[in-house]
Amino acid sequence: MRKMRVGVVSAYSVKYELRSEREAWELIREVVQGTLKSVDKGISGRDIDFVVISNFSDRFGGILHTAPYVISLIGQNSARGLRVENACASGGTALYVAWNLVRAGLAENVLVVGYEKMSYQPTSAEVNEVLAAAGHPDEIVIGAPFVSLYALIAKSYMDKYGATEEDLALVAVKNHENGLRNPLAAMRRKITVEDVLKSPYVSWPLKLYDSSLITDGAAGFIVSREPKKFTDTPVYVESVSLAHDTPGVFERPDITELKAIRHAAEEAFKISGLSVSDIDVLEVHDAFTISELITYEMLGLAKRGEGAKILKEGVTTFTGEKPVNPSGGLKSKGHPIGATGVGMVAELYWQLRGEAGDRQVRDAERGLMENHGGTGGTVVVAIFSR
Amino acid sequence: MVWKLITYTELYAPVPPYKSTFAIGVVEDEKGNRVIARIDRKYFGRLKSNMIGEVIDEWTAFGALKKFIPKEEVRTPKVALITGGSGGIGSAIAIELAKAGYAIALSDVVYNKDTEKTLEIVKSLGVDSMFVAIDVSNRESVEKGVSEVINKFGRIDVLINNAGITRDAYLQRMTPEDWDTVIKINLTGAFYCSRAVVPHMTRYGGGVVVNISSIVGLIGNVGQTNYAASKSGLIGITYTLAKELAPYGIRVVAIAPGFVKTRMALAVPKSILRDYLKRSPIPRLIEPEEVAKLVRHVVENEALNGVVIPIDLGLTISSPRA
Repeated sequence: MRKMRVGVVSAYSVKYELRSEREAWELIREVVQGTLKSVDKGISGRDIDFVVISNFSDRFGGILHTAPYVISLIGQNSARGLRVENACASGGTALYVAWNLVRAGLAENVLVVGYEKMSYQPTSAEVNEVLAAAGHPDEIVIGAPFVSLYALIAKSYMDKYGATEEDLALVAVKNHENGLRNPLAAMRRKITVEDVLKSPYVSWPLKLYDSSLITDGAAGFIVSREPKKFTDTPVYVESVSLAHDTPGVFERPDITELKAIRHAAEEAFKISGLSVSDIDVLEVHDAFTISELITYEMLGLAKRGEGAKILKEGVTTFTGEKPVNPSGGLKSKGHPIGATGVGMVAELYWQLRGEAGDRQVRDAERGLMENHGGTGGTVVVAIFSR
Repeated sequence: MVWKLITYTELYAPVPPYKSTFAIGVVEDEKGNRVIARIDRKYFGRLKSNMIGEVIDEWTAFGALKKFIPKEEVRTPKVALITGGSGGIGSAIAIELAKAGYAIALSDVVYNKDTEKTLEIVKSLGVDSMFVAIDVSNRESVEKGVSEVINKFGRIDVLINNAGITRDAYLQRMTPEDWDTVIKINLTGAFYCSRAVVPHMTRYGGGVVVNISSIVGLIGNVGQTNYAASKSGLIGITYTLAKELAPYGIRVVAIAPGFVKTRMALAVPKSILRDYLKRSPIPRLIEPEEVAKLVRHVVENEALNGVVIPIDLGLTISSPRA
């Protein structure tokens, strides 16, 4: 029997914004309509038999129970749907659920929609309070926002490997440079290492410019059991792996390791029969600059402690051997929690179809996404090919 | 049980529900058990990996949390910056805070004999001191001066916005220049100084800003439109910053003295001064040292925030309001 190849047949994203004038349900509506319209050979709402929604919190948009809303928008009353939440990895988790539903024969075509309207909260302090609920209970009780938890990781990493604040700044500079080429990015502004170093500390040693953006956004895609029915150039989902680590940073024997990334990547490579050397373009979870450096190491792009080294060598820049975050990443494109992983899928769909415009990575045939939640308590790694 | 600090961070952005800055550490006991613990912000800038300490449970309305208390505390002397510090109230405050053990950064627009005398007394009290030339009405001068203090002492824990002048005249005779000069020194100066100092206070876990206002800012005074406006303005700054900076551990208090025995008060025409003293339940001038003692109390009493404290021998309650 021929191996089933699940494929992405459409993707859509709103432009991410720091503060959208639109309500969450308006963002959802645009994405649903845009995703359906973007199918090359057309698709009817009736073709969608399952809907997976990715969203972190109703405190970021004031709406829950969105599956029936999306199903009503596509005009398909017999479809079923649900919402998934795995903190910042909700989008990746939605892909994981959709891919498995199709593989298991429980669905033919799944519409995935991710959204978050973070500006629903009046200030960044309140946003951080909402996000902090994704930590370990002991971290929640002491009042540790995520920037502090990543700062604990950064401090340990700097102590262990001698990395500097300048090394971290290079990640922000690269991703902002990439974001300049992306019309969907929330903050298209070139920044220098000096700008990063001069930005105020939020939780030492991490500064404002080490942090990703609080953003409003929504994105969607469709995965299909018979992708060729909808497009001649689908992007195949080679593998999706989901792994967990202890939720608390303090519980980990080596605080500098995000080991669920390594576990998810190993499994994703195993399922797909590919290795990191086969990957042409990557979208990874740069929630804070430190997380991108460690992600290089967990994925096998760099040896332990040498994340900054390969960045300085240009390996992960836009024109490098392994471009990471050509979209601008969470740092410049933005990080609307529920939409983030979904947007990564959309970006790789466009990259592998050669539709990424000014940010197109040349000859990109295979792409990898890494989307993590909390401080890496949940990680999704997926591999795509054209 | 002995606990060791494995790694830590200092959080400078107050986040609900605690709305406060603090440090967070991962600590480990002798058996290798690890917990995440809160560390008081007074240890900002003094934490080090591998520090030893104890872990206690602290009750909060949001849950019981672990608190790490370092044992080997690195002691750093606290620093007070006093503007207009050469003479009068400023000088008395410098001496009083030196008695309390503060290193003194004495600032004024010029260095004169009064400055020298004040610094001599401060030095005799066994604390570090420096003079820093600051024209509080000039932003660049303020920022440069604050940098000099930070370069020498590394921190500023107390800011006394004391620099002030008078240019008294009845409304029709008060020139726009008289207005501008008084507002720039007495009010804008406090804004510039607070703006330059607060980031350093935040960095080291908090501090105290004391604005030297005046009862004139509370009840007004004939011939002092500019001065009264500037001193009322300081009260507005006090109320606002007390709210805005509390999450960073910074308290802001205003002190409103009546007539203090300084050159400024003695420059008031004798007939007017006598008239005021007659109205006062205790008819004498306030000594600068009495104001300084109140400042010290404000600096030391951590419950005082966002208030205006008159020190006026009862003059305010006896003054006609119209």
